Amino acid sequence: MHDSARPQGTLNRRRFLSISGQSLLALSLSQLIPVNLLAEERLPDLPDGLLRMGRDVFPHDFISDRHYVQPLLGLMDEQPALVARGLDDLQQQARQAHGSTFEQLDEAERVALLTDIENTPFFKAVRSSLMFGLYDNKALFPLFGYEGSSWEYGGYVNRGFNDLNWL
Amino acid sequence: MATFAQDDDGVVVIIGSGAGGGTLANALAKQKIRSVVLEAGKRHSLEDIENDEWAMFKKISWLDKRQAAGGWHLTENNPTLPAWIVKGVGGSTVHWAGIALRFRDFEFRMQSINGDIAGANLLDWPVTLEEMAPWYEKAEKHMGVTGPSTGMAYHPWHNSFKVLATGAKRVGYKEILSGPMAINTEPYDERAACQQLGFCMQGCKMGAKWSTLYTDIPRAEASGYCEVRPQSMVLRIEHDAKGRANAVVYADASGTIQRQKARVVCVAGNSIESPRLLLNSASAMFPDGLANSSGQVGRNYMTHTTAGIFAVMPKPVNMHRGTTCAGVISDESYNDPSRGFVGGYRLEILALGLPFLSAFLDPTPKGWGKQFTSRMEKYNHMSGVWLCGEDLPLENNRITLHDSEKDQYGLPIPVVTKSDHPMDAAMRKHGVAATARCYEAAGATDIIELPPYPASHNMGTNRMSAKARDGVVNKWGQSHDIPNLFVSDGSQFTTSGGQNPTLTIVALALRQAEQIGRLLNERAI
Ligand SMILES: Cc1cc2nc3c(=O)[nH]c(=O)nc-3n(C[C@H](O)[C@H](O)[C@H](O)COP(=O)(O)OP(=O)(O)OC[C@H]3O[C@@H](n4cnc5c(N)ncnc54)[C@H](O)[C@@H]3O)c2cc1C
Ligand code: SF4
Repeated sequence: MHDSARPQGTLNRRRFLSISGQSLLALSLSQLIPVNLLAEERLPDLPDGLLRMGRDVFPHDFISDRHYVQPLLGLMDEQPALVARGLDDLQQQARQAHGSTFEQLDEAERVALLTDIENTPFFKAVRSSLMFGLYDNKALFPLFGYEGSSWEYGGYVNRGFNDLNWL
Repeated sequence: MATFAQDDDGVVVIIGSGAGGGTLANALAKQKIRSVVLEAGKRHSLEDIENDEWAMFKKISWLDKRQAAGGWHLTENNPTLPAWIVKGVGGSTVHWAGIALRFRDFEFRMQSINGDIAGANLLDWPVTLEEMAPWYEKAEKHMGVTGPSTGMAYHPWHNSFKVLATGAKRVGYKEILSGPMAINTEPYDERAACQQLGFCMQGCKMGAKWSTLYTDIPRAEASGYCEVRPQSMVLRIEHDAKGRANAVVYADASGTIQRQKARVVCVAGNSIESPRLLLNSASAMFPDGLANSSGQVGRNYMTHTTAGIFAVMPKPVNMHRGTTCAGVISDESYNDPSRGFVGGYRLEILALGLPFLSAFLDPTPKGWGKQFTSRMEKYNHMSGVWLCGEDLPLENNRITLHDSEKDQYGLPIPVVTKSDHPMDAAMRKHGVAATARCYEAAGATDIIELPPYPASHNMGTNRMSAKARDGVVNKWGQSHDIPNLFVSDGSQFTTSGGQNPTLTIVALALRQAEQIGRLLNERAI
């Protein structure tokens, strides 16, 4: 992947460390697990615009590109024609409307173009592959505060099922 | 474990091993009545149960093709999965969350109390609460329901219920209880106590939650009076020249067609497959399908009036910790037509894991982008409610057979058509607002309404009626047309009530077992 095609929201390690506030929790968790450790690693190529689109569909600053790339690669494997055609159309619309490629548009322009195609099989396929790829991904659970499988730890009976005390 | 010959025409054949079928098999076995249970799905064990939402969904759900139609949002957003039902030994009692509520008195008599309601096909049950009360108590003891019948304590309040209950108290609600649940809070009936795993709807790995998978089914088998044949999909019920059911035809695990003779046939395939099977069993004598002289087979499909309401709270809640649904607010569960609808509803706490929340949060085409992800990022600050309310029976909410599409057995796939009655929509709105008020009173910063999930409660498509012309079965679940054909699942429901259905299904199955025993003794069937 050439750098210019990298979406602005991408977190490389440096930017990640410079982020403050709410991501600090995510940061500390992410160091326990290899979510971002490979952020600088070269990612397999995706066609221009696809990663940008994926990050616009489910934008999470604290999730690195590779977690978007993996499910999208899977989708390209499964439905290459659908993705190629859909992406072509999207790029064409970007050029017609704004005279440049989708990934070079600003966020509001990109979101408007995606809203236009949100009912298409292409968009739905991207959305669904990322829904599983991001939210059914055990490596990412901790970033959302979800603790996953519990029976092997004896459930939550002694691990905070009723520890809420701020009410 | 007993096995019975295919040409043994003395057995009761039970189709489906879930709440209705599994309970019935065990209750018949206790009377030494021989039965063969044919179950379309596989048999799983506790080892197969994982704390993983999608893995379990894929492992045990009924995924044969179905088509959603009508005005409900599933037609658009879940066109091939209108309902969430298990295909496997134990049926949907493997997935179910364990809320075990009785119907209230008025819920058996919706028509006499409210009169005819335009657009609805309202009818009283041919059974009353008075008649059902002892069976409810038996069912509660049988399943191990927390509360007076067993003496088991209700569940300790978990974080998410603390939030909801606090808000509910602040808005003046009084009926706030963490049960009744068919989930052990202490060892009961040779099963362990709940350890707050938080994956009740993925199958309880502890066996603390009642399921026929590890109670009624193995016990019926151990009695020597019951044979369970998993991976046996019933395709058709056959009858003799007198119009009595006498055999069922099924496909076994290898797809080979088998035929089991029967003295009595009990249909318990849940409210989509049961009417589908009766319709698919049409013959020269019964051209509109079995037990269908009333034309009501497949009609009056009800799912409960539901919605999901999730609130974002200012601080972490961690709703995923603890019993998924142990928390019920019941102040709105009475018949008060001044609210703009008849019947009542309950607010039930419901936790979803991150994977399911992402799928249910906004399944419409709008479910993406910054608003979606900013909400997902608040996952651990959320508390959620599932609305469970009366769903009016509509004649055209129904299961029909597709004219061209076939399933893997060559049978027409079921089309599941459902639209709201205006009162259903009014109730949903009322319930969503009531929940929002509770959560706001507890300090919520954002309230999200989720459209109904694929239907987990399915009822009404072979309804009970006093008169043969109004429904499919009588007060015992016995077909008005074919005396040795019974319906033993939630499709018997005349109206939905505002109560989760399973306790009533089990109570009816226990009662039906006794009646079948009586009729067999009298040689009436
Ligand atoms: C996620 C979830 C949560 C729920 N929570 C609750 C709750 O808290 N409280 C409550 O009261 N209810 C709850 N329910 C609903 C409850 O599970 C059902 O109401 C109940 O199990 C229905 O019983 P049944 O006998 O009608 O059907 P099921 O239990 O679904 O059993 C039907 C069985 O028949 C089999 N079958 C179907 N057709 C055929 C055929 N042709 N041949 C052979 N076998 C066939 C199926 O494979 C299945 O195993 C929940 C359901 C789900 C999915
Ligand atoms: S919370 Fe209780 S009932 Fe639910 S899965 Fe865990 S042990 Fe079973």
